[in-house]
Amino acid sequence: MNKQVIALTLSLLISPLVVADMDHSKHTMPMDKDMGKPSMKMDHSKMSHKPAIPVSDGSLDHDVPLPYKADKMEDDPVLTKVMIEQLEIHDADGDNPVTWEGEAWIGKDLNKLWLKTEGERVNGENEELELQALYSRAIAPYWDLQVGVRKDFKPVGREWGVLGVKGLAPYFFEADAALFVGDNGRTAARVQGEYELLLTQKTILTPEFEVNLYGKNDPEMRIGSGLSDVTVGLRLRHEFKREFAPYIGVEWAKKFGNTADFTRADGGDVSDTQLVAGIKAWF
Amino acid sequence: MNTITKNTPSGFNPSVNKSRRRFVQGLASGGVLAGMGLIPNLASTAPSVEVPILEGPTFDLTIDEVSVNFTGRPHRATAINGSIPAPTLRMREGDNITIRVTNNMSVTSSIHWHGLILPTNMDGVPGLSYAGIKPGETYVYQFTAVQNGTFWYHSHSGYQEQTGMYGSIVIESRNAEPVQFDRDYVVLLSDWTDEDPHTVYAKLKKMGDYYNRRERTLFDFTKEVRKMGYEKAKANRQMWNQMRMSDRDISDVTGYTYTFLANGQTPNQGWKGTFRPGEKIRLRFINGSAMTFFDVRISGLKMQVVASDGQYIKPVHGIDEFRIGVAETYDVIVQPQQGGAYPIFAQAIDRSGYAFGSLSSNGQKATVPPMDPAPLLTHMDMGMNMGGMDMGSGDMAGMDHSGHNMAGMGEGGSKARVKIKTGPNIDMLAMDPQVRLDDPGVGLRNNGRRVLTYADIKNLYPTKDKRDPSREIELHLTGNMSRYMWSFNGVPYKDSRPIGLRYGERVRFTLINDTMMNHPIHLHGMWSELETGDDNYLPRKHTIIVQPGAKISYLVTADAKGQWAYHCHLLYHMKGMFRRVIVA
Repeated sequence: MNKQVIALTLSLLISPLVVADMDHSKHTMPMDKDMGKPSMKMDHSKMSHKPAIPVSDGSLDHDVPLPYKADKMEDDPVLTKVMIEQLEIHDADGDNPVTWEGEAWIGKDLNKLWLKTEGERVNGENEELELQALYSRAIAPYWDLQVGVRKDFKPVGREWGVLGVKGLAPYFFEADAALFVGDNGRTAARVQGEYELLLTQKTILTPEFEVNLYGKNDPEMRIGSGLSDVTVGLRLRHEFKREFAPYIGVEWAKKFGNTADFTRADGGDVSDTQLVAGIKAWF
Repeated sequence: MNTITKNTPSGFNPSVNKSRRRFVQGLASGGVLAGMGLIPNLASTAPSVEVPILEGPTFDLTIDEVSVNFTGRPHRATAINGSIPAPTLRMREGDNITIRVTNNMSVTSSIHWHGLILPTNMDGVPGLSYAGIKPGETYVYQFTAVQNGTFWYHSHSGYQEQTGMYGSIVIESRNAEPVQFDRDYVVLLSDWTDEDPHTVYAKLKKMGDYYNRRERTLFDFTKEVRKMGYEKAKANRQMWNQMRMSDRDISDVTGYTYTFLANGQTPNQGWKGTFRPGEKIRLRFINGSAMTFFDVRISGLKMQVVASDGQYIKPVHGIDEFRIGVAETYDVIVQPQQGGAYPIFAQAIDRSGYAFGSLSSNGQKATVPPMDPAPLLTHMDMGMNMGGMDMGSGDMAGMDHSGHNMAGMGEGGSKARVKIKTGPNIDMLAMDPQVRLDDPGVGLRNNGRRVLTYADIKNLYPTKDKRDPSREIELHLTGNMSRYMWSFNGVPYKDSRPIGLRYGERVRFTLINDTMMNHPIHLHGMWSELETGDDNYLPRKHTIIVQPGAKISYLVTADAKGQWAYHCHLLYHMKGMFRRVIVA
């Protein structure tokens, strides 16, 4: 039952993104069954008195070695990128937690190793800490398929397998959606999206959201099945350089269903709005 | 008849004593060069104040790592004879040329003679012509100058061209020149960055729009809403948004990092060429940039365009402005009747900066004109057939795009007559690419000036090989801007097989640009005879701009055996958008 819910939810959440993209790429990149074969078709844009001539891509059907040894022209070097998407302090009641979301990759154009981390630190202690290691493969012009493992260190140790897609949806929505499968039949799904609204070339307003769903109750994690929590943020950053931008923002978070029940039972707020200030950087 | 004025203080005078190997071409300096430790001959050299001119038939060139300062901060560069640009090489058509090139650097280097027709082992492409010039080695190039005109030379190794290894070649005609002029200047345009080119490339891979600092903002949209109403403004954005493309994606690398140079001088320094009123001045424009297309004009002067890629064309009169793609050359004649200072104004195509110089009769610098507004790509630049082919619709704001449904966009791609490897490496295919010879290009349409187009260019002399092509090679210029991947027909060089030509055959190349950028495509070793309308006078070019979403064709006679390079001349595209052409 739970799995069905998760599967349905996931397909609802992820498929519009991917399908929209695939659909679109179908429009812009149609493949002709006849392509590849030299054809005698006339090019009607040319003057019609010219005789039809065979058309091909000119490639030899065999390779020919280079006559001399030379340095390879490497168009696809191994690169690394480290991204601190969010590193921020929250203006919350009492303690002011620091939270982060970071990513890093190493690899080539189409195949990369991704690391993702997010967490929360209060009074020098990690309250939440999650790490993902993913193999990322480009599957469409704007989409990567990401497969790997996730390890939660805090609040409770959990291990998950990850299957996700990350990319840019039409209308420039950045999206990251993943399905997590853990021990004892645990399942979870997370969808994140954001949009960059340029006020100037350097001042950028970013609305974003995150939704988490779980397949079954996990009392130890204080998480309930179904829709668990939604976070909506609005951050305003100023890029002093492309690579470095401090920001201020506001974040609204709400817990739902069984998760909200757990929170209420613990005496917490199921809904909260916090001011945040932090930095976004990459290199 | 060449009527060069004798003993002019500047401008080339062919009667000058051959021992005078250095020649004052401009008035002031390019970048200040100083040696980096191991190169004492340069360390002791005073700031270079001119682009040296060397006269053939024998040349000695050395390649060194030097320190250069174009921006106020010294930076490492690679230079030929300690000069950026490299010395201008003057040769005479018909002479047997010897060029000894010594590499004093710690890495392999090479020099390619761009546009010269010569044997393949003299072409200077590592791997194809030779193994390159190893550290400490001297390579002796020997060839006959079979042509005359304006050409250039540059490294074909790594990013050495970006870091300073480029210079001009002027080959005098053995017979009387078909155009008359009193002065003769080279205007070599280029782009300089203090960043390591490897860093530039890595940044582009990590963020394709890194150097684009004029992206759409919220207020651009609100402005459009005010102008045309919400529905129209929204419809206007629809295709771009659905395709995740930006109509402001004009240049990959911009004035954000580049300093644009004219004869090695920054706009602040301002190269100057002197003249006396009434003189005919020949300006040999060469675009030696790594990545920058320039739109060139000389405010107050009409230009007569007399040569394209070193080849004389039927003079095109009354030109106000021309676009010069990376690696192209244009020779123009101007004849200022009034004294004063005229600005040679070369705006980068995306208007993120400009190269600047002056033609001056009074020693003064000209006033820098204001830059034109930054251009926006149109649906036509996306390869959509706009029906009426209205070249004037640079501003598409007035057009109603609601009629374009996305479903219809797919059909054009099926017009590809060759296999295109689609996938994550390609972000679009032009739906209905048109031949747009008379389109001056994005940013130049309907700007109130007479702008040169390819349709204007006819060779001065009749086409030599009058045969019809026996076959056609169709290549699509493909890429993914956000992943920064470039290829022909979706296949990058490393995964490709060579293009084979039979010795002596005549072939049509048709290029279709499936990207949103202009690409300058360069075939080594043989002329690309651009089909500009009159088959009897096909202009012979070495580098051909393919406008975004457009197609263009040219004829090649495979009259040079060997392996030749064929590639996009944008330095950061060429490693993927590259083919070997084998003539056998």
